[in-house]
Amino acid sequence: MQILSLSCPSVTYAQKGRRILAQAGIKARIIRRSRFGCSYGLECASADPEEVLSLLRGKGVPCEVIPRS
Amino acid sequence: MIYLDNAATSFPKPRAVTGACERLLRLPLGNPGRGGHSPAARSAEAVFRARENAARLLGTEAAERVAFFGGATAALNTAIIGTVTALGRAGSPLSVYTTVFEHNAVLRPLYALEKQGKITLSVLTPEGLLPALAKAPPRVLVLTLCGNVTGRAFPLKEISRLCKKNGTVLIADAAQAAGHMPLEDAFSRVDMLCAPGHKGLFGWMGAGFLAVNPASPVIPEAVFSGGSGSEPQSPGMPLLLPERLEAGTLPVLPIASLSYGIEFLLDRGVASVQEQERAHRKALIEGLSVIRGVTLYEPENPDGPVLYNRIGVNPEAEARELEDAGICVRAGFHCAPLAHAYLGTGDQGAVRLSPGLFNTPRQIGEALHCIERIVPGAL
Repeated sequence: MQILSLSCPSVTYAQKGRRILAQAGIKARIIRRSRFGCSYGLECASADPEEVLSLLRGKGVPCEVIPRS
Repeated sequence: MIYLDNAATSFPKPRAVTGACERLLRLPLGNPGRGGHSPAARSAEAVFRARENAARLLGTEAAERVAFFGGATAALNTAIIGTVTALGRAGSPLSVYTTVFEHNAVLRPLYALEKQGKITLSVLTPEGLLPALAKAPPRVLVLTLCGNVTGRAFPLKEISRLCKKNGTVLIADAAQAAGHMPLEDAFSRVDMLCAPGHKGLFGWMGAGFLAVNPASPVIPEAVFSGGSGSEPQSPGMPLLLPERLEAGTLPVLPIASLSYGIEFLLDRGVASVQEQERAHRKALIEGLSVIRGVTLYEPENPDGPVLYNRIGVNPEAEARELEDAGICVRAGFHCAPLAHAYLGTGDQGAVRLSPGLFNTPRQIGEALHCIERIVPGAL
């Protein structure tokens, strides 16, 4: 498992993303990520980042993985 | 007091709504979408839950396509002006249709656009609407789902079919429909739907929403500009809904209250609310119809307010007499002057009774008794 940080275009999409992940059994928290050029994002523990991205994008949540610095 | 002015705003609000609002107010609330701390997150969660609930009410999962405003009027202005802006081209006014049964929240933005040369406007009677849609389809149609004067509704299935066939964007005003009748089917047939929070949805005054159907061919341009909490370095509003349309701080408590109101309605069942309100309407119409000198307007409509006048009685005077007897009604033109002109009440207006879910059959009976008693010459 690794901590995955995702950027979302707005707090609304971050919330929608959190709901979708919760339904899939993935606990996520909303984070403020303005230093990365976006306003909000999600942070969750995941063994498969691609699966998380696919889940969110498949439900219409635009998101990108924020590379770990 | 017997409150029969629910078309203006609903009263009382359900205890579930007032209780939830009181609890929310005791908590630290920040500015939604404007920070990462817990008070801001709490407000943002309340607003997002309201988006989800509004979407549930409309039978869609697209909570992110529900944008909030200070009321249905601001939502309608955004839907109308934003759509005309999105579709329009300089020097080529768009053809827009609407009906005589619309509220000034629809008519006045349209008149303003017409004056600016951005649209050509046709205001149609119920008899003229379908033939006009078939003969010369407009680019945009703005239509009430339930008129605020007599509950007038239009054949939405046929209208929607014509709009889809001809590429007409259909904007629905659900000010008197939301919370009073199931909306899932109606929303599936329109491109945008606007509703207030404080009427049938039992919220406080101060919030309304615009829902953009995921199948809509157009997304309105922003009408208001300002802080949005996202894309702060862009000179324009964000491209994505709902922040695209929401400038400035949202009215969190009114939004939360309409959300609680929708939860109350969905628990209770909107169809059962409609059934109860229809029973009140029917009882009022039956009672008024046997009072001497009463003229009822469009009593055949199943939903919406009851409109009447009495021979030789000024409607405002009648409303004052009812007020003295503890009955709250609204007389006049109800911000729908063309509807009154169409109905033949364009000179003095009429008296509107709009019962709600929390009226009792006994209250309806008492109101009828008062109406019968206070005017000389009544039966």
